[in-house]
Formats: sequence, structure tokens, C-alpha cells
Amino acid sequence: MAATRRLQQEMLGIQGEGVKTYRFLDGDDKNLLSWKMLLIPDFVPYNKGAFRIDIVFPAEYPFKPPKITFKTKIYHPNVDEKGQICLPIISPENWKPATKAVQVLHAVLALMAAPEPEHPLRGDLAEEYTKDKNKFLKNAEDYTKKHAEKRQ
Amino acid sequence: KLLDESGVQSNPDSRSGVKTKPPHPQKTCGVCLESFHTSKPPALGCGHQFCQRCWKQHIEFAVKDGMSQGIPCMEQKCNLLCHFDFVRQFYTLPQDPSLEAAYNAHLFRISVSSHYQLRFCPGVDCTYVIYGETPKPRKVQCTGCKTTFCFDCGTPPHIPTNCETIKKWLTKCADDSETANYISANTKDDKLPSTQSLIRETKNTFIPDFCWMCMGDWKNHGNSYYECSRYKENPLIASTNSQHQAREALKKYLFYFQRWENHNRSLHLEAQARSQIQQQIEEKVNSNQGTWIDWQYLLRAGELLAKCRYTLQYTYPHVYYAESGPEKTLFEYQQAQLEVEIEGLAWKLEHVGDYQRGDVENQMDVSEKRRQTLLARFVTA
Repeated sequence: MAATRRLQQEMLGIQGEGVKTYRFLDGDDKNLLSWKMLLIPDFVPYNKGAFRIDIVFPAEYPFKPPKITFKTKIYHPNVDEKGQICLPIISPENWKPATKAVQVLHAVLALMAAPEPEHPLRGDLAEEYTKDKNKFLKNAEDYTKKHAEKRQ
Repeated sequence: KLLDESGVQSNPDSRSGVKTKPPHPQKTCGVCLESFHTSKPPALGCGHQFCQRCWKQHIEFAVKDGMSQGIPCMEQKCNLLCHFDFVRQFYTLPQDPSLEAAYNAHLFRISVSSHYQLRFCPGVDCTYVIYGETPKPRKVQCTGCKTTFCFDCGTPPHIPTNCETIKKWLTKCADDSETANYISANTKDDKLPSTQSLIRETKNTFIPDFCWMCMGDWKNHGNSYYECSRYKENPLIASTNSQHQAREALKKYLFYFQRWENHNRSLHLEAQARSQIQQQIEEKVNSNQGTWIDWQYLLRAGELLAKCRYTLQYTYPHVYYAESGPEKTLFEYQQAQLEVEIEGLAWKLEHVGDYQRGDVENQMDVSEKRRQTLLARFVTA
């Protein structure tokens, strides 16, 4: 019960915010417990495309954290090939009930802007990021152009 | 401030006076986003207020998940933990005995594990708590399930190796012993097959005595200085290439692992042997060769052998990680001495008929003294 009421409010809040870097996907059936969203980053190397993500909320939300997966392939040290992301604020140990979905979205974007090569899910990309950042940026940009969604 | 950082509640009254004004009759709860009326909404010393219902659910979920670190405040980036009285006001709201029991069990677990003189017995299904006067690494035995363990780290006793080293060693063995098995299974060792076939084929013909540690001829060993327990490092190794170094490192590890494993296996074999000794004693008593008391020394010898072997087994990880120097040389010497005596004792115990009681008792005494000498430096008062 608590989950749906809060999620309804949070969803309305995000829609009313009018932020350019994320929005709900058009034609979403608006399932409260499973959000389909589009991230539209405005920073290199991901500003040439958009990324679909799923946010799945458990029935116990907000006392248990949501899960986030990237549906669009992304070239990033902290996101693995299956789209799983390593994000501390939604890990079960660190989750706080007062954390809002919008803060989680900001955390995802912040992680995209500044990868954490110390805790990688893809070691090869983390190594490239630390050793040759320009090469990483170039590869990530090419990858984004090739695989990411259009930024309508 | 220190109390806050460590997640311990500071005096709630003095702080809530500073941070939270007497609350407005209507407030929005930061968790369920609904407004609630109450003159004094529940909050910890940090002053973060949430509604009754959310607090209760938060605590319920945390207790059900068996929280390991205590229950934190619900506000993001607030590390304050709920104290006992705060939690209790929620589970007594509508009576919830299962929640209360779970929380009490948790409190008990935390208070035991954070007490420096108390340890939970690591034995399977054992609920005993062990009290130690001084929290030092030493061998203790649970009075309930008879499990022996190291008081400091809870693993099987491992003197003379220290807690840190034995942890490293066991991890390494868990990682690498499969490699060791693979190597011994799939690579050729020049000496081993021939010796083994010798043992198998020539039961009745004469074979020269050989050392079971290094498989070399026993004659070369002499009886004054036993060296098979010491690994001889190649002094030129630093100048060779990395492949050689890796091979040498593996060789060194395998050398110690083999000895560790050998003693472990001997321990198991000799446990069987001890039950045979028991039978032998009964036979002897039944055929009127002395009384039951006369033969008890054999059992004691068996137990002592196991004790010494256990100690010897745990000397190898210590030597493997020890830095070379006079201390290591001395330790290796004492280790070798103990090894000789133990093998002597094992031999005499296997060939009971050939030795007098005095011989065996003497050997036992010497072995135990060697063991004491070896451990003298490591025993903490």
C-alpha cells in the first residue's frame, strides 16, 4: 500500500519536473512498480545518444531498494553486459527508506558522468579508463553512436 | 559528535531541542509522503522525523532480514542507529512477540560478539558462549560439544602459526590445492612411481629403507640431523626470469603443502590405529600378558603422537610465511628435531612387539619435550 501511494506521488513529481536529462518512455503502460525510462545525458561521451533503463520496485518499497537495469548497451566500467549497474545507494546494505527515486536517477547519471574504476563490473573498461582516458572516451562515444537510442 | 559518528545515540532531549522546533501539527513523512498529525513524532537524536507506521515497518523489515549492523535512521546519509528503547516502543505498539524475540536474539548476538572476553562456540549447532580471561589467540575447548578452537579467531587451534597466517594459508590451500592435485595427477615425477612400485612389488624381498618425506635413501639422512622438513631455496633465483621464479614459488608452496597434507593424512590413519591398539590391549589382557593397566601406556603414546603431529602440521604454514633469519633457522631445526622424534614414536608404536615399554615411554617423553621446546616461544601466558 505504502509503495503504490508513494510511487504515484514520485512519478507525478518527476513528470512535473520538466528535466531534460531523463523522462518516462512514451507509450509506457505506467506500471507503478516497473518504470521504463529514457536517460538523455548532456555530457561526453554519452551525449550522442539516449539510454533505456528499467527501474523495478519491490512490493516492500520504500523499505527495500529498487533495481535498475540498462536496456540499452552502454560502454561503461560500472555497467556489465547484462545491463546490471553497481550503484551503492541502491544496495541493500546502504538503502535508506527516505531515498527518493529521483535521487537514484541523479546517482545513475552522476555515475555515468564519473565512472568509478575502483569498483568495476567490467575490468577491461576500468583499466582502459584509468590508463588511457582519451581512448576510453573515444570508444565510448563510438559505441554510443552505434548502439544507443535516438535522442528525440 | 563522536557518539554520532559511531552511530550511537547521544542524549535525545538535549539535541532535539536544538534541531527540531516543537513540530507543526501537520507534517509530511519523508518515507510514505503522507501527512501525519502528532505533537511528538518519533525521531532519534538526529531529529529526523517520520511517521509511526513507517518507523514500525522499517524496524520490522530490518529485524526480519537479520540486520547485522543494527537498525539505522531512515534518512539518507544519516548513520545514527536505533537504540533499544526506541525500537521497543514500536514492537510493543500492537503486541508482536515474534518480532520482539528476533530483536532480543539480535541484541544478544551483538552484545556477545562485541564483548572482548566472550566468543560463540564455533561447534555445529552449539549455543555455548565461551568466556576467556584474556582475549589472546589460544586453544580453548567448549564444555558443551568438546570442540577445540582458537579463542581469537574461532578456527581450529593453530599454534605456532598465528591467526593471520593460518587464515592466509588456508585460503591459499583452498585456492591452490586443486592445482597441486592436478600437478601431481598429470605430471610425471621421476622418483615417486619407482619408489611406489618398489613398495608394492617387493613385499618379501629386501628394499633399502627410504624416507617417506623426500623419498630419498634413508642412509643419506644420518641420524643426527634431519633435513627433510626444510625447504632449500635456490639462492640464484632472484637473477632468473619470471617464469622460473613462478615455478620456484609453486615448488616452495607444494613442498610445504605436501608436508602439511602428509601429516593431516597420518593423523587420520593413526586415529584408526588407535582403535586397533585398543583391540590389541584387550587381546593381550585376555591371553594373560600383563594387566589392563600395564598396557595403558600404548594408548597414551597414541594420543601423544596425535598431539605432536597436530602441532607439527601447523608448523609448516608458519615456516612458509616466516622471513628467513636466525629465528627461522632455529625454528626449522627444532621442527626437524620434533619430526625425527615423532617418526620414531610412530615407528615404535607400529612395531610394539619389538620394543620394551621403557623404550616407548622414553620416546614419548623426548617427543613431548621437543614439542614444548618448539612451542615455548609462542605460548602466551
